[in-house]
Amino acid sequence: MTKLLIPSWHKLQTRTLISMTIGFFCISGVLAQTNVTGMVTDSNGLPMPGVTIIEKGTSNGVITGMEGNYSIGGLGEESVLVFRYVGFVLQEIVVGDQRQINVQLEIDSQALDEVVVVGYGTQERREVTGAVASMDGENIRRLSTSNFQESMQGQMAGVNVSSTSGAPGSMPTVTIRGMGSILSTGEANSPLYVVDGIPYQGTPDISPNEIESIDVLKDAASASIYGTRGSNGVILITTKQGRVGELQVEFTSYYAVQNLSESMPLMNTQEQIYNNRLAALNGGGTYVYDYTLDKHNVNVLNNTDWIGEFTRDWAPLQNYNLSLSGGREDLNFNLNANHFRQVGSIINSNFNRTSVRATTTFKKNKFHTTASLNLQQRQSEDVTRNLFDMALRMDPFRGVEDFGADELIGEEGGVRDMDELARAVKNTRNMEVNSLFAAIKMQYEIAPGLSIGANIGGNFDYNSREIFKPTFIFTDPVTGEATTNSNRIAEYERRVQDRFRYTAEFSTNYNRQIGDHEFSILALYSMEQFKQSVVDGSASGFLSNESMVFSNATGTPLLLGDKEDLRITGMLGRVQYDFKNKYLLSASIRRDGSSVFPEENRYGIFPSVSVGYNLHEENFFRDLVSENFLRSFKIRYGYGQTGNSRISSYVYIPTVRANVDYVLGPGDQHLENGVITTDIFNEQDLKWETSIQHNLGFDMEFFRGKFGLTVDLYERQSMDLLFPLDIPGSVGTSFSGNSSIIKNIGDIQNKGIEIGSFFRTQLGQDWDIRLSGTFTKNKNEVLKMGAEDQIIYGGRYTSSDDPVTVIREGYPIGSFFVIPSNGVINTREELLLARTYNSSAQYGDLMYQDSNGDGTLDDNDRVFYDDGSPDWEAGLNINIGYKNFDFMTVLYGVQGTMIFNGAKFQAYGYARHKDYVNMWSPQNPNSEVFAVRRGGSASLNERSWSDYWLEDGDYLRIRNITLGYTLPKNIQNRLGFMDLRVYVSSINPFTFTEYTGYNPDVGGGILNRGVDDIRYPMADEYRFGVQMKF
Amino acid sequence: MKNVKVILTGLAVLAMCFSCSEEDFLTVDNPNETTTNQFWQNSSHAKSAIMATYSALQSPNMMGELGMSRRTLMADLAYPRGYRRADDLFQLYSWNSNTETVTQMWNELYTGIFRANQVLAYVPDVPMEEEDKNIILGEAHFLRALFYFWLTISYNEGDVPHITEVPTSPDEIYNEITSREVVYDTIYSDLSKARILLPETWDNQNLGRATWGSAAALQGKIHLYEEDWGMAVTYLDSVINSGLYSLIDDPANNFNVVGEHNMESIFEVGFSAAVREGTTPRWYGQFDTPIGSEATARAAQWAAVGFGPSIVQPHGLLGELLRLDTLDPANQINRDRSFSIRYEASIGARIDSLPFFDGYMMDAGWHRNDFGLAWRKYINHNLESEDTENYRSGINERVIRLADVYLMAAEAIVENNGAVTPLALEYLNKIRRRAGVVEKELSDFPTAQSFIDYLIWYERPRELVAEGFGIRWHDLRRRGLIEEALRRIAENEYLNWNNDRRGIKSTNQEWEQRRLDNFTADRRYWPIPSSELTSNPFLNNSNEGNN
Repeated sequence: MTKLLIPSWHKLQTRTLISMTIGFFCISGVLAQTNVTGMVTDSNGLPMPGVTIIEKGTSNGVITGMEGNYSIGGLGEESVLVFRYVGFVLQEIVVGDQRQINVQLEIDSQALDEVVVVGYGTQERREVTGAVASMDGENIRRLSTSNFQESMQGQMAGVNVSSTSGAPGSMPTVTIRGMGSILSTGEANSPLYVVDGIPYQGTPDISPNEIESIDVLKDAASASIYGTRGSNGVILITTKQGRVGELQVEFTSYYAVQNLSESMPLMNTQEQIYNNRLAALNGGGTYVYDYTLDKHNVNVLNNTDWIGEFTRDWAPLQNYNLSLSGGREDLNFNLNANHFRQVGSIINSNFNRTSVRATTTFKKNKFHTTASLNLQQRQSEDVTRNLFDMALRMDPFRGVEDFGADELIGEEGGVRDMDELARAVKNTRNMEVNSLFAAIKMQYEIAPGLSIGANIGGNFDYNSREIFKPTFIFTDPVTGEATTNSNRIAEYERRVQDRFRYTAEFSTNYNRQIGDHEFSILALYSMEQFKQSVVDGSASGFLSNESMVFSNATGTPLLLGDKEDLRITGMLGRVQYDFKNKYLLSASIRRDGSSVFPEENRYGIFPSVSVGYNLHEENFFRDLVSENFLRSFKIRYGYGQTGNSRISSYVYIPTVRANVDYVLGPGDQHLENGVITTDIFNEQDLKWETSIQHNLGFDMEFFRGKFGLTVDLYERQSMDLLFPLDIPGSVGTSFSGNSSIIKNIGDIQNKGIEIGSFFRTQLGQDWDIRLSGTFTKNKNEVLKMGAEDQIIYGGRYTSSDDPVTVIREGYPIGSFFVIPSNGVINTREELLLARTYNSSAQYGDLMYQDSNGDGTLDDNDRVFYDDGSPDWEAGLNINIGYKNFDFMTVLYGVQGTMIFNGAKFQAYGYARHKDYVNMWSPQNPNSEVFAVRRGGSASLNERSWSDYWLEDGDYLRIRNITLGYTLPKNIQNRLGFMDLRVYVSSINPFTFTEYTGYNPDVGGGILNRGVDDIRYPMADEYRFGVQMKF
Repeated sequence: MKNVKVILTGLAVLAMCFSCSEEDFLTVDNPNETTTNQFWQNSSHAKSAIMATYSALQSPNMMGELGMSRRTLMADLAYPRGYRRADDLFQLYSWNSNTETVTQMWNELYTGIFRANQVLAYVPDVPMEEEDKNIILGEAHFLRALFYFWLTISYNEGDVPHITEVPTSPDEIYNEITSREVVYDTIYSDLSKARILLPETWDNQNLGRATWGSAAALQGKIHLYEEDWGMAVTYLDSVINSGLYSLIDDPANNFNVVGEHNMESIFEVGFSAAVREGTTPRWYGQFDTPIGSEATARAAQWAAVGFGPSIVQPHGLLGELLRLDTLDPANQINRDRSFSIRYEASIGARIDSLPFFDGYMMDAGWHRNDFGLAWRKYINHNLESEDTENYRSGINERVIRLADVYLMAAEAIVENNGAVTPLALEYLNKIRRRAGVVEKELSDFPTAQSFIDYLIWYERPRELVAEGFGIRWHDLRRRGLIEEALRRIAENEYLNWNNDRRGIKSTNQEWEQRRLDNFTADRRYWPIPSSELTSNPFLNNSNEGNN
């Protein structure tokens, strides 16, 4: 109905730009009279707004309106109309004597035309010489995950995403091409995130609705242009940009419920009572008095499901997104507002995120600028870390209390853990992050092909964490007095962190085409600064639990705080060369300087080179292989060096510590100031971690673009790995200083293969089938350690448990090294054997294997098991469209990994695990479950160092099943929509695994990879959503 | 064209500003802490450093509550309530190389050694009064000797890593295990330096710092432990004869705040219940931080049920040793007294009607103790306690006091002479006289061994139970009597002093039998902690993988 004609005053510039885009430089002078109208639809017959139609060879052009209609005048019979829309096959039609031309555009399945963001610029897929994986916003939104990282799982070969926690607002771990760094602190292994050209410190939390595309630079040849921070790969996020045309409004929303379906088998009251008594007998003789039961035997009637008590069923999750976009060629904008809200499946946990993002592009003559602004607020309430732990620990015969009240009933010397449980429930922690991101990118073309640019961006975030520990009183029902279990003094803590970072980049770009030679040269200088300051206040004693702010504290508040300042400079040169679209070359060199290293090692140089060969452009190739079979075939090779400098500031500067005080004098003693160095000096010559990577890749498209295959082989060696080594206690810093020291410790290697493929076809008019799959195999090995035969232990369930993983030459990083166990001691021979290494071994104990046969059982008896990283992982996306229905499912699976079952370890430790029902006893001699002992006579059974806790971690998970329905065109029209789709989906509905813990998708840092320290289980989700366009 | 120039110039200027001083831009100082280069500059730095070294003594597993509890539970005079699992592990000799106190005390002792080594390395170059400097060096020598002594008597039969220097590069942080002889050479040399450098006394402000007497008494104790009787006599007598120390009248003042740094005290570890301004009081101490207090949690944790969790409880054996110790009617202090003053200072029973916090012993929760007993030693039982809500205790832990020295000297003299001498008997009787119990005669001890047995089985436990660095445990250990002690308590029954059930014998026979069964010779020492083995390349040498 509405015909959108470009207003005449605007015409000139539009023409110029459009002409340039298509690459025509001569302007036709022909003026004719014909007027043509028509409608543009897609292959489903739906109208397509925003399609550019131009008269070929001229600057005469229009854009289709809302209903896909257009009208273009000034044509002659010989005029050729070009219909163009991103992602669709371009069509050219000779006008002739037609006055109405209706066009159906077909989706362009030739991915090679896709524009790829490669860091400091973009390239067409066909020009890319590195290993770059991409995902467009549409795909991300379709998966509609809570955070964008999750949407990448199984979608891009070589990108591993593990969800470590189901806590609302928690973000998964992303690793690219295996563990490249072994620095387990902070985000050392996480890739560098670059949002709209601005490198991010840490991991951004951007709503998937705000993202236009994600491009991942996997190989070093691509990533090395980010120098010191590129060694773990780079994830480039482009947020939604403005689009030319009439204002378009898009609203999407979903509502979901979450349910914890995974569980840990625990004993019920009957079993628990029996077991507790047996355990006491095993441990020390007589039954240990149990207050809960013996004083109040009515409690045997309880059968409390403590985990259920703290779990919310059908916890809701909601997302709302409104997006406005429109404008003209010289001035357009995108406005996006998003609100996400999640109630956790465990009480006291919530998360919500509100974000507004605006992007404007302005062009005038040779000046081009893009400005974006993002305001975000994240709020969360965290469950106290040990609540889940407490729930595992509590005996089922304990009755549920109303923990909401300030006055609780509890006898003096009564139930031991009730106060801790009350604390876990009542203490709350609120986090709030308010952030502002602003960036402006300017470019000016000085001469044809030569432009200069500046990209300046900053991010400010203000982070607050509040901890409330309200008072509560346990009143003894007999004496009526408060018991020692009470929390008499309320405490309040607030930590405020403000962080500021900015990036300033200045670049010069030169593009030139001479005959068949095309060059592009980039020179760039960048500076970054990251500053943060922390103020940590605490106060105690409040008149009311409801008014816990500093002013109301009866005690004087205490303030602590510190600051950090980190700076990076970078200098980059890059040349890209393209001969006839056939031979491609890209070479770059970057020099980085970072303030985290001592002066001598401050600068690092990172070169890279990569070449590409589009074989299908060769005549001899075409002679051999039909285009119908193999449409394109590209071979790529790249070599590059990258660095890693992710250590905290100041580690090389030794310091002294105050407040190591002592008291002198009699009676009314006085405090003496103590000051001393409590840390060991760090390495003075700390240097970059360097990684060198080779990548060989093949890109192929078969059957006219129906089937595509990308294969990458890579080998990455990371040298001088930075690692926090545990310091032996004998150094004297472990009690009150650092327990680790950062060192460059050795070299590791990752070798792997990545395969990405897609298949698309249409069956008749109604069926549209699209499949895509990824396969990643990565092999990791520690090549060399600084000291010969050095073994670094790590990976613990908690800091006081035995380590279970090691870093050791010749093995994958973080390999499980534990002591083999061999059933339960059941015969006299076994007992005698066990007594040779453990004099206090008993019947029913775990039979350990004295692997090195030295007659003692110690850490030297550990042997290699698998590691926690999968040998391979694979993802499969199936999309089926039938008429107005769409169906999607995403499968993801891993193979060849082990998990330390922390939840089981914990439930055994608390003697709650259901396995104990069947534990060894003289009457049950064939049990494989060792006998639990209580009353203090600990055996070695419950140490975490044995293979008893290791399990196979393979799994296949259906991550998503979605069924959608798009309203038929005529109904949409009647309702006034341009597009209206509703869908239902289920997230993580099925997991096939033999793992008996909560979630086999364990993830974790280097040494903790595969160590399931379950604190917050994952929930599955059932969702209803709607997407509307006006 | 004008625009171009403006933009170009602007960009150029910006770029210049940012890049002209890259070196400066990349150099940042740590604004948070004083760097080591700025330290060790003057006498106040030296003093702060030695105070930080003393501060290590307060750490929880050394002289703090955890250490006191676990060492006490290893011996025969106490048993755990079962409140904390780790307490049971020590009582039942089920600890392993990853048990918390085994790991933590190791770390704490080496923390002390690291600090003493820093003082010894840097203070010599600090510009300050020579006299003050020497004293601080003397203190560092004394403390280092003390830490090493505690290490050798606790771990791996005395063979431990031996570190006397401050590592200056990370390559120097790994140390091999050294034989105990080498460690003892350092201990002796440190102590002889300390004896020369340390003053005999301190003014009120500085009470608590080491003295000549601290070093001499420690040296005497080490020689005694090493069964080097002659040397032990020399050093212990030098302390006794120095005239610097005397037994105080009321032994209770050795276990409370009022009696801190009294004439009997030779070395003690300072604690204070005072809470730092603006911080939240807690019942336990918070060390090495600007918050909380320098308190010990012993009083809170050991107090009888009703006042605390009573995690460590007096054993019936202790009740009988102290309650059945015959009072000397001739002694003045026994007027109106049914039990010895020493008993009252150490433990109490419900029937005693002794004051206990703001009530009497009878208010304590007796159902928790098999023998009707509760601690009074090191419990703030005499306080109405303005702090009952938090139970922080500021009572200093006495490491060595004169009574210990007298008893050690008596033991060393008899061993040295092979016979009971009047002097040895007099030393014993000094302690018994002060306690108000009947004095011993030469005729009570037909042999030297009978005198030693009496000291070990009766007098030392009565006087020194739950004191020092596990005095009772180490007495049994050094004398090879642990198994014997365990057998005795497993085979005997002990009286329950609870008023309701007076005269009924009570004990947990099976529990005691389990202790006896579990004890093996390797349990005399703790193993080198697993955390040390796994992080120290000299000590780890894992088996080849075979999967």
